[in-house]
Amino acid sequence: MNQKTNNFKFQKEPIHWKKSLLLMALMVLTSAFTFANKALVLPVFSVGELQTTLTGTVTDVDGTPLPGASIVEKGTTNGTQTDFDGNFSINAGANATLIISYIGYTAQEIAVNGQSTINVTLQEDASQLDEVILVGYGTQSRVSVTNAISSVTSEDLVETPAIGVSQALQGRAAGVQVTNTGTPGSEPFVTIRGLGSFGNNSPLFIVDGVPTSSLNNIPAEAIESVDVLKDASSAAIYGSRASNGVILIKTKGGKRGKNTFSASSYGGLSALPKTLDVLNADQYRQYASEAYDADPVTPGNQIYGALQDGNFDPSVDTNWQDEVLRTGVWQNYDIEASGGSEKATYSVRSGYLKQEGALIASSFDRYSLGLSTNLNLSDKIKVGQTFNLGLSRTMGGNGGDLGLAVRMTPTVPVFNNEINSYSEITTSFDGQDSENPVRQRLNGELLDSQTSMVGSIFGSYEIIPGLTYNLMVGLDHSFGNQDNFSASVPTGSRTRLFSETRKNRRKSISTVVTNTLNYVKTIDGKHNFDVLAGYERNRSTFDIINAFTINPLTDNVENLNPNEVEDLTSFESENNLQSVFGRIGYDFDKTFFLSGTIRADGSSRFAPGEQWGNFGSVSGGINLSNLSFLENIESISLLKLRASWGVTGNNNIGDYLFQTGLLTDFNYVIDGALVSGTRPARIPNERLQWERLSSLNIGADLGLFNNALNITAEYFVNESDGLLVNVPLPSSLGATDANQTRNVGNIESKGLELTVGYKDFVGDFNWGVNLNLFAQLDQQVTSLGSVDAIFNGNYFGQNHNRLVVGEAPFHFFGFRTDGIFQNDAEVAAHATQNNAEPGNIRFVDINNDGQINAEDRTIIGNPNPGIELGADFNFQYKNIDFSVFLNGVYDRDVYNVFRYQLEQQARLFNMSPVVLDRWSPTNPSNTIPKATPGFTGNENVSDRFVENGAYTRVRSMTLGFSIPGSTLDNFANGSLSKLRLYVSGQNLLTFTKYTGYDPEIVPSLNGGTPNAIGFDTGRFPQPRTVLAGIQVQF
Amino acid sequence: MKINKIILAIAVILVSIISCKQEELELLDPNVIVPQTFFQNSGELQSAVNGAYSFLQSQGMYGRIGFFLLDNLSQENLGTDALQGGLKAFMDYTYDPSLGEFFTYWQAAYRGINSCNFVMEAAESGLIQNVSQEEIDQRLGEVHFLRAYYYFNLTNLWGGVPLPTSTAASETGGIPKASQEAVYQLIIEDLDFAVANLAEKANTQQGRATRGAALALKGKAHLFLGEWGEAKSALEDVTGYTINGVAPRDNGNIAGEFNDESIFEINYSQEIGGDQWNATGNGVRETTFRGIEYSPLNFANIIVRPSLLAEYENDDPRIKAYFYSAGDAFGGTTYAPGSQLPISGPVAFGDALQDGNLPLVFTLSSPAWRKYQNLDTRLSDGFEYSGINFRVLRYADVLLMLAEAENELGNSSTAVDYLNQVRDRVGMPNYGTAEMDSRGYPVGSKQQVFETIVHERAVELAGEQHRYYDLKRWGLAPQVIENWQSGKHEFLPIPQNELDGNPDITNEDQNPGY
Repeated sequence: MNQKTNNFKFQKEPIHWKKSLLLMALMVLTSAFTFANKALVLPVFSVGELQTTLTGTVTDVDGTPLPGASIVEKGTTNGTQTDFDGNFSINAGANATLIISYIGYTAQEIAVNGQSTINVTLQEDASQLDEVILVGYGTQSRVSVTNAISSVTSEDLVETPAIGVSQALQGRAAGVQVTNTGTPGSEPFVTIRGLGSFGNNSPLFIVDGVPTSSLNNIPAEAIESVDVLKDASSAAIYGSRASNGVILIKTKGGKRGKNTFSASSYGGLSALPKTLDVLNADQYRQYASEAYDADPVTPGNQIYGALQDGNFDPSVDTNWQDEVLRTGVWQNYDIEASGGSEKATYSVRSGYLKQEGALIASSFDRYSLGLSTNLNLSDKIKVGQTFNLGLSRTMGGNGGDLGLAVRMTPTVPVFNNEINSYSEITTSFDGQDSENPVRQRLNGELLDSQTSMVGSIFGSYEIIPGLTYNLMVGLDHSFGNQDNFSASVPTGSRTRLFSETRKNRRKSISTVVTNTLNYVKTIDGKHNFDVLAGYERNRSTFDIINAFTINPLTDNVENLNPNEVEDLTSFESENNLQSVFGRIGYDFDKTFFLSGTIRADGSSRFAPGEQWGNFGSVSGGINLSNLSFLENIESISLLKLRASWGVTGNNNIGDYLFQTGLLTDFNYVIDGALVSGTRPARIPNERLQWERLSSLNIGADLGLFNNALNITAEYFVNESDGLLVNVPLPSSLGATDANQTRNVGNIESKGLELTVGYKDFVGDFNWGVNLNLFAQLDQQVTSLGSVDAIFNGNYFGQNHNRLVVGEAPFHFFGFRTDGIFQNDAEVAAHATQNNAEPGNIRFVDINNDGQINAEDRTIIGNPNPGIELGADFNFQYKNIDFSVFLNGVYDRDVYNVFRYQLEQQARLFNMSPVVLDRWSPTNPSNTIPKATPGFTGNENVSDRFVENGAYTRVRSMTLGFSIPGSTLDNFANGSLSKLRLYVSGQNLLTFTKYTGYDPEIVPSLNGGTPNAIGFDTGRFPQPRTVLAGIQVQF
Repeated sequence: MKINKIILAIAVILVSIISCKQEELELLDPNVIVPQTFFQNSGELQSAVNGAYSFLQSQGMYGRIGFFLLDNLSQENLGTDALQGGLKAFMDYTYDPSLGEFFTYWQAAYRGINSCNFVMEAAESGLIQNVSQEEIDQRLGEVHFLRAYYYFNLTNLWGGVPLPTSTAASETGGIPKASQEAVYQLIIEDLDFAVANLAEKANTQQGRATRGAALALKGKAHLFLGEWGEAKSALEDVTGYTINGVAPRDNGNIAGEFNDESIFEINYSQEIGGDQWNATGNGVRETTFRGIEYSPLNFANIIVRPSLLAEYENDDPRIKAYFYSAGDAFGGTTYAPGSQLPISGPVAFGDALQDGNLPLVFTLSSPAWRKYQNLDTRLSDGFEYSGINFRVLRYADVLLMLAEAENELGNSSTAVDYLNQVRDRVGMPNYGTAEMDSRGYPVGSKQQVFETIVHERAVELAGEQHRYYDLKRWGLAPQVIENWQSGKHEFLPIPQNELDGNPDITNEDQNPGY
């Protein structure tokens, strides 16, 4: 709600702090005068009115009573509040107008018009301006926030069926980038405001106050709200863990009021929207025999061996993509009971979800349980708990076998009945030949099971009014089992003599104990203070055991065979964090805001003397709409300007990095016998520190037309420094490891975010739109210490990206191509290039030295998105609702490894039909080189495989129908309060020029390093899904 | 009342803050041994010291590059077509700073030094527990000797070099180049420590550094510096060794390991095995490539340079002792030139096995190294990595160094006496006799005695990595070594990797001429 109660006249001139005392005095006087004035005027209005007694109930759109809602007769001081069941009674004039309001809901004005009963349904406020949002270790009214915080509601989170919160966040908040894969159960790649580290970029996820990592085991249905702390100022209260942003998640709890029981379910079908074009068997035979200049049907030559499994059968034409793809069935069930009395609230929910992947033998299923209670033991003492349990199983790994299906030759059948075994090509070049993907999927089992628990117990005690002590003890615990069994392959080029069993067992336990003291005080009615001090201890342990055995006797036992142990290892680690923190918030009459945060973290990840680090922030804002010159402009309901600056850290750098272990195998011979020699594995950097981020954020919030239109804009300047870089040591130091990790890297980035929300009510027709936009204005590496450049990535033994000062992180780095050599004269005229001959790719001599070599590599693309967009449109007409949710990523490149696979023509893989139009002396193509066995340089990292990765995707589209309340009353004796049926589609359309499966590419994280960003190696694409669902509430 | 509650609440928080345990923040990696918990007994200390030896044995030094480097630079070797380009560049003097083999040697030596520093730092910081002071002193003596030996080689190859004496990486990440004087100063200091703390050979495990080794190396260092008196005094203290009764063949074969002449050896073992491919000092890799690389039967990379053979007097029995030639016994049998050897199927005598390598005519004019080969008794050794120890310091070298020191001090006759001890062992005529005068080795002046020392060191110590250093310090390299450029080839170029990774060494610090 707008707090426009101060009518003081404020001079339109710059604020001078010197004048603050005068100002305050003025305000007090003016308010007093205004109040007195009203007191004089009011009785005049009520003269002559006929007073009647009105009764009614105030509920929300779900029919839940709203206790404590305010009912005021317009223009008077006459008012009341609803009771616990949402009922009210008020004496008012027959022609009066009532204003019904409730925090978080849009106030309504209702003319009495002689009615005696008025039932009011309040809509939740379209603006988020009065909502209470989560900030670190507490809550804050949205109106007093001076930082960059995005909030996402539970409705948005479940609009698109998602496994967990990170998937559900995609496109929902400006600056929060979520990249999904289509592999069931896989964790998306989440960054906030782009890459800020060469290493781990994952935000800190806090569930009900507990840092957690097992996000996929908490269903989106269990979540009440998500608040994303994007700038260093809002995140600074989390100190050394906050540089990548903080995502605060609140799980559902009970609400005071009627007990409700609700259930929802959906089911649907899921399949890939696209397959890649490849050659059929006839085309492939023709291509291969021409390219390799040999007859594919005559036994004994290389092509013959590559084409089929022993026997030439011209009728075989296997479409391998069809063989490994399918339509998967999705199902989801969720039940929830919640409610509460004045003294206690509770919520119990449970769910089951199963998603079958679009790839055979892949699925994710999960049972989940959530439990939350809150008790008011007395006026001063409150206790409660939260608990979320998830048991999930992921089957079938990461879906990389799709790449095999694309490359596998179509001339080989899936199964060879003669040898009763899966078919394979019979000759192998180098072990990188494609394998039968059906065998890969079905001849064994890969199962990953995870049990995770996140929960907390908390209590608070109000020591004196306004001063509260809070204690929270939290636990994040997960057990994981991976069981991987590969059956033997008795014959063929992929023979595996014995079955193999690999298992790992891992356990992580993280505990947190948080003590805070919070003091809230208002002085003279205008000076609002909110002070927080806290102390926290966090301890995390992890351990893992890996085992690998073979079984020469049987394929029927999938368990470990103790007699044939190939590998048995274990690893454990621990880290502790101890922290002291505080925050002070001050506002003057909800108009001028100031706040500051400080945190000191001590971490076991650093050497003694380097363990403690300080982080902090300051921020301020001014709510211009509370000032006189804007106050009278009706259309502007809010205009707030704010700025913040803060410093945070990133301690996501692994345990024990400042230490070294000893290696004991520097052996020697003494007295004729082998003796062990021991020395350090590396020279540890005992001055190792947190990576640090300093961030400036400037924002503005504008609410127009009674907050029907809300606009938030943010501008940020982020500077990450002290990023970890492996710096080469002088070899004369003689260390075993030639590198040392040092805090020498910097990244700077600047960006803009824009969020626009609009909601309109026109009688029976409501519609709304939420748009969010993120633009990365500038992003570059500004230091790598003494290192000139770091090359990363593995593209068939070549690096495909680079870190270098002055350029975007992990930009694609390779050759520029300049068509195809058409004849010998062109070859002769060109710079010297290995294997230059007509029909091969011509590379550009960037440095003009007459030679094509590594020095001619240059920047050929940038995988970091420049612009990201989310757009959610909602329409409701009477009982029918319709929504469309789009998201888009623009101004970024993708390195299409599939394209390389399908056009390389260096190997006997299956190819794209484009190779049929390849260069030949009679077909002077300038895009597809000639076919040549072996590597010719055509496969070099080059702009040939870099594509525009921009896309716009219809992420979801939903049409729902709610049975009208009047019908429900006649049904099930009125116990049913809501029944909604809907159909929904996901990924229905994708607009892109990208030629691969899916432009949305999750980088495989190598030790947390996103160095494969934008590199499409065949992460499983996202399926298209069609669902039907039902939601009921009793 | 209220105030009491506030105090209570603050007390609760204070108590929990005070209970903040600093030790919880000081965690050690439980998955590995860490230095903080090492050095807790004699075995652990010994293991850290063993690590300092391991790099002598590694591929960069006597595993492969070390012997090639010095034998090729001295041009005692002649490469065949099979010789790898980088190794051939040593003998052709066509190398540049980017030559990887330089870096491999450099890295191995500095890793050895790093291991020495690791042990010395542990002692200085009092980490070593439950070990007697006597043993600590002995072990520290070993690492001081080893560090001196590594630096001795580095400074003779490269001149002024970085001189790290600790394992810590500096703030800037750089280590400046020290002057050769500073390097030698550290070498002498280390050796003085080693002499004072090491036991004599009789009380030392085979393969470990001894007091005699430290004295011999100290004498050599002084000799190289032209400090003749100090050289003499140190070398005279090398006692308990003799060349009498030691066959010259027994310097560089299994049978002669740790005999009475041997002062310090780099240890290998055929029985323990392993090879040096891709090795950086770690793993069970207890053989050297010397056996297979110099073998006439397999790799056949190297033959003996005719100019070295020409240095020998025709009747010198050391020719037979050091070199194979036609008519020699192989595996206990004598084969005529051109005959077949009964190994791995018929192999043409002297032919290289590798495709396209040289057809080697095995005659007296192109003999192969017998020193450090065991082909006379075990034919298969020509195809295997060798387990023969390298003899780094031996008493004949001490005698010849004493001769040189005495000659420079003006005691020519004493010098000739030392020389003749070495002659007597192989039954060659003594210097100062008419016979030797007639052979062109008169000893009538200091210069003439010097020339006999040059001759005798060349023939006695051939193929033992002495001659390159000798020729350089004597100033004879420009006359003897083909392709030698004065002003450039006095020192090797500092490896490019060092320039790249060491901000305190720039191209301006590169040795002249590169």
